Order: sequence, then structure tokens, then C-alpha cells
Amino acid sequence: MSVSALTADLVLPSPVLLVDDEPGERQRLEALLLDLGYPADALVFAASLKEARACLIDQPIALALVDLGLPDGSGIELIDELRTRDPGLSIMVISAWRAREEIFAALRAGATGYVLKERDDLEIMLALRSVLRGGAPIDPFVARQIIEELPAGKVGQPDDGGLTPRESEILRLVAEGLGNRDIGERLFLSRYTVESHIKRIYRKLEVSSRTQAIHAAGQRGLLA
Amino acid sequence: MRWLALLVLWAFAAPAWAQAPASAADCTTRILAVHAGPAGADGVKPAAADWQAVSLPDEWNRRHPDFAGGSIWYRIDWRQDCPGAAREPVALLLQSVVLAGEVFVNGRHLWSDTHLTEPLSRSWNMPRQWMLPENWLHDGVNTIEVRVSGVAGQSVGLGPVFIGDPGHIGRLHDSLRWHHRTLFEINLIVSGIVGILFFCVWIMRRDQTFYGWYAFSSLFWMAFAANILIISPWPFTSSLMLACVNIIALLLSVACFCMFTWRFGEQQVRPRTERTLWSVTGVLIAALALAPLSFVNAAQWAGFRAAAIIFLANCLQFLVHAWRTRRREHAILAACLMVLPVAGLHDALVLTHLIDAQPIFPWSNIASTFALSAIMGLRHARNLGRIERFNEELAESVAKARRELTVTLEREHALALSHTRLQYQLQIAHDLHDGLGGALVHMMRSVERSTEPLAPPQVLSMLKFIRDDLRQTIDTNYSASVTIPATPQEWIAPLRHRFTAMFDELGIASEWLLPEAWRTPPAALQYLALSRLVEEALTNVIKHSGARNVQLRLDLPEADKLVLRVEDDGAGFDVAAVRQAGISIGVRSMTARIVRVGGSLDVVSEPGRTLLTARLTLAGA
Repeated sequence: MSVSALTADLVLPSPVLLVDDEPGERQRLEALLLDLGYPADALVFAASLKEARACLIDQPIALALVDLGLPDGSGIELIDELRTRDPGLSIMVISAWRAREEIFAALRAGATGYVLKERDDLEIMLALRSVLRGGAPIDPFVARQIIEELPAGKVGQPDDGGLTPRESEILRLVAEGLGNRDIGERLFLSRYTVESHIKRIYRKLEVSSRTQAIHAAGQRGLLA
Repeated sequence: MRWLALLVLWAFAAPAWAQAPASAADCTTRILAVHAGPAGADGVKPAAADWQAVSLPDEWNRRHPDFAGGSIWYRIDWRQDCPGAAREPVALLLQSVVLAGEVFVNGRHLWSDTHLTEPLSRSWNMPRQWMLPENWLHDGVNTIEVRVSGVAGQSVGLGPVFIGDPGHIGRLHDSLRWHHRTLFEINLIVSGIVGILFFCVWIMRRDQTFYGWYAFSSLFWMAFAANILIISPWPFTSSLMLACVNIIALLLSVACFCMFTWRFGEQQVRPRTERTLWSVTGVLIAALALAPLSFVNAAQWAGFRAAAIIFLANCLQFLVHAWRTRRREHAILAACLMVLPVAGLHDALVLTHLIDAQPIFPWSNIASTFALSAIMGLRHARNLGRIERFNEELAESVAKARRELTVTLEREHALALSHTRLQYQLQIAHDLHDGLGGALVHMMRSVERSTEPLAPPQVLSMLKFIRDDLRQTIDTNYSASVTIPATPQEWIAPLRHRFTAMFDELGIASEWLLPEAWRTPPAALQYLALSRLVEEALTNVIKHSGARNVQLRLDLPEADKLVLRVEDDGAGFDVAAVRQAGISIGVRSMTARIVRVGGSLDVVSEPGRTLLTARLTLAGA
């Protein structure tokens, strides 16, 4: 299967901010992004939080790929800042090993997906493509964490921050290992609807974690 | 010990009879003469010829050892001389009547004891006073007659008699009562309380025998000293029996006291000495209890003297003992013991008029009782102090033991920790050896055997395989989810999700058929091997087969059997060639791995259909 076959019909949001301190990894991701069809001038690189913040001052970005372990701090901080600046931004975590708790923390901070570095190029590229097409990667572990974290919403009060019955159903199926297409088939939804549900779940997760932070700050007397 | 007090009374320690001195008024009362004589039949007064002049106090039986019981009459003639015509009121005081009696004034009956026949009342230590009725008296010589009743072998007689001014007689009466009764009442109460107190202590602390001996000594002494105070022989039926019981109590008291001093002083008394003490005591008690009437008096005296001698000897020997041990406690006790003989000596001198003083024995007795109690209290306090010190030492050593235990436990904990760490490292090493090591050896052999240079994709495939193995080893050792998944669904969920995401992107349809629950859960190594097999198989499907449909199916045909099938409709490959040439390192490594966890792997492949079948035997939990 050729790469070109995979890159058909893609709308590429640009520019892309790639934050990783390892030159090798940066080159690898750069190659993958170029394969996906990005022009070289659409890619912005940063090797640290400081560089990334500097880049943000210069230009707006449409997609961020963030490594969590950076020399001057955690990528989660950066994700938090990015999300605050632009609620609609796609943010992908590029994580070294599968440190699940860390990935979950990144999702809470506002990441919309993640991919593991040690996976094959093909797998990473497929994950990137999924994000570029508007998908929302999720895995069973994350689904289970979210089910524990977010309360089920009350019937008739759709926007109280809790999960709707449909969202709960989708998470349950994710936790069982079903792919988004399978879930769509199971629930008579399109795959894209399932993905938009998942994005909304991520959004709720992030809002919930922010609300918790504000609540905690209020309790500690940090807010007047 | 304290029976010397009795000696004092026995010997009629009170001052000799006296006539009242001139009162504040001008009248003088004088005793003119005292006569005594044995009563006739039915206690009638003696004939005029039988009266004989005596002086009070009089102990009739001393002058008439053949006294065989019955009554003695005493006649006291006295007169009151007043300067004027009017007489003053007159009071009479009898210090003691041995043993019981009745009083007549000028022939008129004034008073009598309750029992004048056996068992006799006991007035021998009971000072009594009366106002003499005015109209019974007359000018000139008046007569007071006292009939005294006694029993054979026991003392009989009359103590000092005082006649005179009521005020003076009253004071004298009070003084006598104090010295002859109240002091002894105090004695008795003190002995009783101390005895009961130490008895209780002894009951609680049976090993401290000296408390017990002292308690018994005190209680027997009480029984003995009660003789001084009682005025009725009840519950005994004769005066003689009472006297015997009295001496028996004294003997026991002395014996117990000896035992007390020996135990208290921690003296190494030879058993023979103790046996001798108890034999002598026993023989004397038997003699008192069984002696015929004629020997009872002798037995009483023998018992009394023996008790006195034993007590004195014991006091002296303890003095020597205290001198030897030089212990303060012993010295105090010895001094305390010596008080009593010294007081006895003093009183003896008083009695014999060698010195002029009041008897001090009752006082010294109370003092020595208190002193003894204080010594034992000291001993008790010292023991308590020792217990407290012991408690402190105990607490200290417990704390020390606890510290040592803590250190030991910490050391053991550290050891256990390092052992666990070692085990863990061994486990990782083992995993690396079994997983990576096996794959590496296998690949090295393939590279060695290969006649042609290896193509880059082959090398890449080898390296990827090793990387996946490494990742699984690390995942297994470092993630918290080493536990075996509860259901097949839970086991496959991460793999299924990961690969369906890719299948969806690539447009490959996948079907996942798994039972709801394990019949027997696979062992940890087995489920890891299965995970790797699925990962490897599906990776191959994506990369090499160009398949459009994939099916993964897990069956549990028997309780201990597991069959996993991965089927695709891709291009397929030459199974034999793959096995021989090692084109796909994965297939060979997976086969070896499944075999190692007790299973087998079959690969069937043809264009359009490739089927991997892994069979495992589950050992159960």
C-alpha cells in the first residue's frame, strides 16, 4: 500500500508546531508529515517549552504535536497554554513509552489525541491521518479512566458537564476494544458522528478538569 | 511478750491499801482494822474466833494454800471523825475482788456480782465505787463486809479498799479505771486492728509468711489479754477452764511471735529449733487441756513461765542476731523487743517498792506494737519500692527490646526488600532472556545460515520484532496492569482497538469473535505470548498480505484448552519456505514462543487464505 494512497482526500491544517527535543524523532515525524503532503514551510519545530512559546508569539498554528518529556518542563504545561489560547486547536501528544497516567493528564489538559513513538511509521502515520481527518483517537484505558472521572449526566439536563447516555455508551464500547467504525455500526451512527462524540467527551474532560482547578483554587482562597 | 502486763495485775500491782487522807472538809475517814475469815457452810460469816487480822491487798490462798474453793469474808472497820456534829457523805471504792463477791454496809446488802457460784463473775480487775447511803451509817465505828468467792487452785482475795470523801474517791476511781481497764482496752484494740491488718496483708501475700505469724501472734494475744477485761466467764463453764484457755492462747501467741521474728529477721533457724518450740508449746497445751484438777494450777504456772522464758530468750537471741547482721531493720526490731522485758523489769521494781513510779508496761506494750507495725510498714514500703524499681527496670528493658526489635525488623525489611528487588531483576533478566534472547539467537542463526546478503526489509523486520518484544517486556514489568485480564474481551480490548483503528484507516474489515469469559484463565506467560502472537500476526496482515478481511477467533473447546485462530484473505506465503529460510522471523519466533508456554502453532497459507492456529493447554490457577 503506497503512502500516496493514504494521503488522498486530506485537508491539511497548517502550520504545524512540532515540539520534541530529540533530533532523530523530529526528523522522523517531519518525514511522516512531509509524506502526508505537508509542504516543508508549513512545519515549525521547537525543542523546548521556551522555543515553543517563542514560536507561538510569531504565528498562529493549526495543529500541534507535543512530546511530553521536554528539557525545561512537561509538555502538559504547553498543551494547557495552547488549549487556553485556542479552544479549537488539534493537539496530539507524542509520547515515548506508554505512560498511561501521563497521557491521561495530557488529555485532561486539552490534548485531542496521542500516539506512541515506538510504534511503526505506518501506525503513527495512520494515527496522524485520523486526526487530520477530524478523528479523535482514544483507547480502552482512556475510556475507562473517563468513565470513572466524569459523572453520568442527568436525563433532561444535557449540558451539565456529565456524560450523555450516548457518550457513556460509546465509551463503554471503546473500553471493550471496539474501533470507531464498529461502534458506529453498533449504534447506527456514522463513524464521524462517533468521533465528534469522542471529541466532545474530551472537551468535557478538559472543562471538568478546569472547573475542578477553579473550584480547588476557590477553596484555597486564590480567587476572590 | 505483753503478758508481763498480766504479771503486774496478777501480783496486785496497785498501791497497797490506803486510807483516804483528810478531805477538803474537816472530816477524816480512817480504816481501823481489817479482818478476814473463811465462810462457813452456805457462805455464812465466820465465827468470831475465826476472824484474823489481815492487811489489804490480801491474797488469802497464799497464806492458805489448801483453800478448796468457797467464800472468804473480809470485815473492814472504819470511822469518820468530824470536827462538827454533822457527818460528811462517804464513798467506797473496791479496786478488785478476786474473783467475785458481794458487799454489805453495817449488815445491809450494798452490791453483789451477778454470779457468786461457778461459773463465777470476774471482778478481779474491775474497780468499783459506791456512795454509802447516809442513813445506813452511824457515828463511831462502821463496818463494811465483803464476801469473796473463789475456786480451788486459783487466787482468792481482796484488793485495796478506799473509803472517804466522794470527790477524792471519784478521782481515784477514774485513775484506777484508766490504768487497769482503759489502757488495756486500748492495748486490745491496737493488737486487734494490727492483727487483722497484717492478716489481710498475709492473705494477699502468702509468701510473706512473717505477716501471717505476726497476725496470729496478735490475735492470740488478744484472746489472752481479753482475760484482763472480761467480767463474765462466758462462753466457758468454769473459771478454771477459762484460765487454761487463757494460758493456751498465751503460749500460741509466743510461739507465733517467735516464728515472726525468725521469718522477719530471715534467720537461718534450724528446723530442730522450730520443732522444739512447737513440741514444747504442744506439750504444755496438752497438759493444760488434760491435766487433772489437782495439777491444773501447776500446769498454768508452768505454761505461763515457759511462755515468759521463751519470749525473753527469743528477744535476747534476736538482739544477738541484729548485732550480727547489722541491718537497720533488725536493730530497730531488736530494740523494740527489748522494750518489753525492760518495762517488765521496771514494773517489777515498782512492785517491790524499790522505785516509786507507775507501772509502764501497758504503755510500752502499745508503743512496741506501734513500733513493730511501723517496722513492718517500712518493710512493706521497701518491697513496694523494689517493685516500683522493678517496674521501671522492666519498662526500660521492654523499651530496649522494642528498639532492638525495631532495628531487627527494619533490617529484615530491608533484606526482604533487596531480596524482592533481586527477584524482580531476575524476573526481568529472565523475561529478556526468554523473549529477546530467544529471538536474537534465532535471528543470528538465520543470518549465519543465509547464503545471500540480507535485504534491508528483512533486517528491519528483525529489528522491529526485537523492539516489540522489548516493549512488551518493559510494559509487563513496569505497568501496573500485569494482572491477567478478567475476561477475553478485556484481554483483547487494547489490541483490538489499536488494530481496528489502523484497519479502519486502511479499509480492512475485521471480525473479532471471543467468548464472554475464560473457562480457565491462562497463565501470565501464556497470555503475554498470545498477545505477542496477535500483535505479530495482525502486523503481518497489515504490512504484507494486502488482505481485505481479517478474523480473529478465540475458542475454549475444553476447560483446559484454548484455540486462537487468526485468518485473513491476503496474498499468503509459502509456509515451508518461510520456516526454512527464515524470511519471516516473526513466524518462527512465535512458534518457539507458543511452544515454550505449552502450546503449538500451525500456519496454513495459500493465496487468499492464511490461517494461524495456536493451541494452548491451560494449567489452571
